[in-house]
Amino acid sequence: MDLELEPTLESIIQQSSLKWIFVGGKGGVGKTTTSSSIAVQLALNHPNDQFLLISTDPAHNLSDAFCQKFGKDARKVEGLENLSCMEIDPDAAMNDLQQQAQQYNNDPNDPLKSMMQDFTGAIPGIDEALSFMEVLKHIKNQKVADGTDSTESDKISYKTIIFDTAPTGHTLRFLQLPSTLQKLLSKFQSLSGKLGPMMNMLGGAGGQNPQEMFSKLNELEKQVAEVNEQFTNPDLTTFVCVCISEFLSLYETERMIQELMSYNMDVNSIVVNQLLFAEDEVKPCSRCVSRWKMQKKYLDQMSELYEDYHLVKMPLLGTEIRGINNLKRFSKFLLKPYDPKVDSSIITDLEEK
Amino acid sequence: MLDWIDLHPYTLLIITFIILVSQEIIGFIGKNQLQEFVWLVYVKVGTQLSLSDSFKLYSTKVSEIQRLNKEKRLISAQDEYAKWTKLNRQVDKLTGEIAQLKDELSKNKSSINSLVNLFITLLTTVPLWFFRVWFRKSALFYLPPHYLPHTLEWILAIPFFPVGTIGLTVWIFAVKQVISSLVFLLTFPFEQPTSKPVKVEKVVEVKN
Repeated sequence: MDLELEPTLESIIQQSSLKWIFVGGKGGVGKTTTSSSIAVQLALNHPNDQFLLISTDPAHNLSDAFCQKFGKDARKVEGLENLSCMEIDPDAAMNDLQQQAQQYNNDPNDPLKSMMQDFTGAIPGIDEALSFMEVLKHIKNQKVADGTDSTESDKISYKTIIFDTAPTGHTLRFLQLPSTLQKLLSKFQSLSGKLGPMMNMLGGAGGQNPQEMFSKLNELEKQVAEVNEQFTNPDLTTFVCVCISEFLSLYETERMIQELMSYNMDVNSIVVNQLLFAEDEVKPCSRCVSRWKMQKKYLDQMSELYEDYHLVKMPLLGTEIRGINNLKRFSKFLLKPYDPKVDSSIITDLEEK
Repeated sequence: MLDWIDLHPYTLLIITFIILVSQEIIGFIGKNQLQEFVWLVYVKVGTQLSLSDSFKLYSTKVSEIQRLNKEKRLISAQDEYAKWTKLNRQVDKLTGEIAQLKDELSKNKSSINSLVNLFITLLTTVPLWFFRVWFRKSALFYLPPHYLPHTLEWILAIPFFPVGTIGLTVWIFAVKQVISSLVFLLTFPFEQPTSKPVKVEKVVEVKN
């Protein structure tokens, strides 16, 4: 089969059913730039819909990318009316939750307290799930606030939500949670049936009893299963991998793609950033030329490996891509492949911020 | 009902003896060895009769993964990234399959182990208990009258046997004693002498 897919993100930008777009990759490969570009292009191409760009990275850089301060609540981007941004620290949400639990049960000698913490800590993916649920709750709250604020007609305010995921850890590890949790819960339940009276006796004075905790876990499992269903539906959710044309980055990308596929997530686009396109320059610098040769080597390997993916090639520019105007110019190349002969002016032409 | 169980005392005597001897032999060989042996037979026969191809599949997969790893080591990941990654994908896939097969095999093995255990119990333990209950009052053979003091004969007849006879309880006890003495006599010349523990002299450090 020799069906080349076009090297653009057009399918994502034009597709109208997508609700969630995740942008992921290791640190320093241009995730934030790419996610901002995707968001900008979406907003430009669907001027009648609202879009939300969320960064869950503790080191927030959406503010820097748009040269505008963003916070915990969604705020509209100046110069692009239908795009909002939001920066959330998922760990903070998690910490809140723990503090809440401590408030209920502040007996330092209660043996159950640490036991419960150990229980919840030992389930793989649970902290990711909790923090993600927290993020989702936050988004939902935003919607409600918007709905009461303006007329009732725009209840679903965001057509698509773009996630700029954190580079560390397995952001989407919680997708494996439902099966794990189900197994654990059934075990816990049989255990609590046997040990229930004893646990109640031990924990009765403390306040938070195990039954309550199980029901909480049950609820979480249901939520995660719901989210999972949405995320594994390729019509609703897609994942865009970002990498640069270097060995380690490709290696990590490959691993990420395999992992995502094991969660049944839809991955069909890879953005390769920071390419030099050195050969057509008027005055080629020797370092650029040799580095471009190396990048091309990996690009060839990639096109062999990922023949059924959209491989988007983005150029390395002379400066950081900041500000809405620069993003608009840069993001054009997500739809129309960068041609070094025609478009090379952009490399040095960006507005300084 | 159950007339067929009315065994002749001598038959009972000999059956009990055989069971006890086989018990001793199994103990000597070891249950684990037996399970291992049955497992090997199962694997061999099962593969030949194509009852379980999972074992064959497992070995081919393991050799396949070794071949892939070898191939992977021969090429440079950076120079032939695509080839290397494709190999990697195959290895990952095979690793998953192998883990699954291993799981299946170990499940198989444990079921066979429990089968062997059940068989051994049925063969050696259950009949003895049954005999002890069923023939709790039947004499195996009689002592000559007044051969032993009455008290002793009475004790030998505990729990339900007629006084002056030898019942199953005493017989089992005696056979066990004899067998273990015999085993001891046979094995003791071949036993490796344990080396004498050497007393470690305490080194007293002299402070200067």
